Amino acid sequence: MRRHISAAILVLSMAGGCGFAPYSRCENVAAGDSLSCPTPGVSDRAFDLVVPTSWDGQTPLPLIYAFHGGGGRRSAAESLTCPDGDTSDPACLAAKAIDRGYVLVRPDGTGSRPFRNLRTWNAGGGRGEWSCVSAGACRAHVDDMAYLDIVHEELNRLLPIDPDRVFATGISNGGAISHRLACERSERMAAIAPVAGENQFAAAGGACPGGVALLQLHGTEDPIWEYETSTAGGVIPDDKLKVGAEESTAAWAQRNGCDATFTESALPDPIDDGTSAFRIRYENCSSPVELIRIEGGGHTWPQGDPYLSTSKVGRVSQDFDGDDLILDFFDAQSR
Amino acid sequence: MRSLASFIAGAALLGACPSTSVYRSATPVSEGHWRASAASSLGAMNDREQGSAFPTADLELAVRRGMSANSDLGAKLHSSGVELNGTWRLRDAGGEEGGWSFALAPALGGVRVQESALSPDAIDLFAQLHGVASKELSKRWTLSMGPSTGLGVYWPVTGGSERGLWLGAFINGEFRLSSRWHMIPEFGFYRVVAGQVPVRGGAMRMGLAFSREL
Repeated sequence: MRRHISAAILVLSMAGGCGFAPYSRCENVAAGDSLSCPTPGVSDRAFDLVVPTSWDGQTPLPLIYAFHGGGGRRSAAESLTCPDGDTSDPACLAAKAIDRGYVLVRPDGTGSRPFRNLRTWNAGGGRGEWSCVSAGACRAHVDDMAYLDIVHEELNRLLPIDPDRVFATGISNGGAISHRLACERSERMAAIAPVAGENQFAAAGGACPGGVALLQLHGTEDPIWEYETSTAGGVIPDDKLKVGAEESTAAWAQRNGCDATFTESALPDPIDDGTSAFRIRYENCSSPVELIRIEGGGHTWPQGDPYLSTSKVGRVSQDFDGDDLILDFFDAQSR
Repeated sequence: MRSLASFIAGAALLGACPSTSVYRSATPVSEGHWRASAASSLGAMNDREQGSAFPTADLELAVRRGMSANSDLGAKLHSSGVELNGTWRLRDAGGEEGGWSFALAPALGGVRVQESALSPDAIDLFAQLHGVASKELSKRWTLSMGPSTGLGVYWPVTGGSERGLWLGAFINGEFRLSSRWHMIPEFGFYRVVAGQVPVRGGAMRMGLAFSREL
């Protein structure tokens, strides 16, 4: 009896006395809301939902999925886009997106065990010579498309979403899951803008019909996901291939019926930071395909957070605002 | 090396794994008496489904009080949480040569993990039961071993909950350094046979405890 009471006191003190408050299912979403919502029927995978303050409460909203990188969590999908990681900075992706009238959603990947906030996405690979991207979610064959379907359904319950203007972006594993989403849910997606993550899903043989606009960003000195197809790089090297930026982009160009040739132009290079960017644009595509090659850039978000040292992840390009470039691209796309 | 040590320490603190240590024999603390102990262990854990393996570490402080001739109650503070436990001796070999004593050692524990890069805000709860069989090998050495089972629940703020059931075993040797001091090296392991708490796999550990009768 004494043990029962002691256990009850233990649980109550931990739950009630320490402010433990499991997320309630989101309801009655309004303009300006910034919420953390559980995903119905899914354990330990929530999503953040940020609603434009300018929303009139009725007009269908364009939607951006922002995916965190491998080992991150949904809050990192925001902090990485902010200078110095300061999420209160108006230069962050979320602030800029809602200023332009987008709903921004940041889902959680699958937690590793027992370190549940080291989260990854099953972005494909793991077959033959192709690296499994990434880590636990890929090795465990997590059905992230099913999870994202549930999230999308929940979003449509909460808000009127413009079905012709659904977009995705993310870095690394988050970029790669954007590619997989565009392949496996091409009828839903208008455009994707992955950063430092390529279409590993299609490279490893996944079906990818095309018809989704692509703006790919990738640094040529990325030590984690190399610019060229190679077995090098990776947080934990596995001697398997990760598809390179030009190969992945060229494959999208083919799917989108682009001409085989492309034009290349230099972006302004106002800052002497060891990087310079070039836009590779394929022509006559059914849906646009562009690659921003960041010479000297690392596994980083342009003008985003230098989350690790340069020796570990490479340089952050300061020459252009990655958030603005991506949002400008999304502004021009619609299904 | 320093960063590895920091990682292990951080992992132990934030991984919210159960403490499966026993560090005692089937003989409870004498009625009305107290015993305090400190222990540390190193080990490894693997998740088969996610294909991951990593080192673990644990530090613990514990006190026990004899409640009756055949029982004691204890409380443990360890780097992954807190635990309340007991020893209930079922058979006392007494002075019987080559005899075995048997006890059950139930435990209830948990931890509140704050949001961090390693874990969401969550509560982990564990219930365990060890069977302890002990035999005095000499005046100084007592050998103890037995099966262990446990149930864990992981309850995050991010929605839902997960559970796990594990089976394992332990073996330890209690060495009487003096009339009051004991040293107990121990080896233990378990495998999660259902669910995924703390992992879909198993763990093993080797530890050393020092206890003193107060």
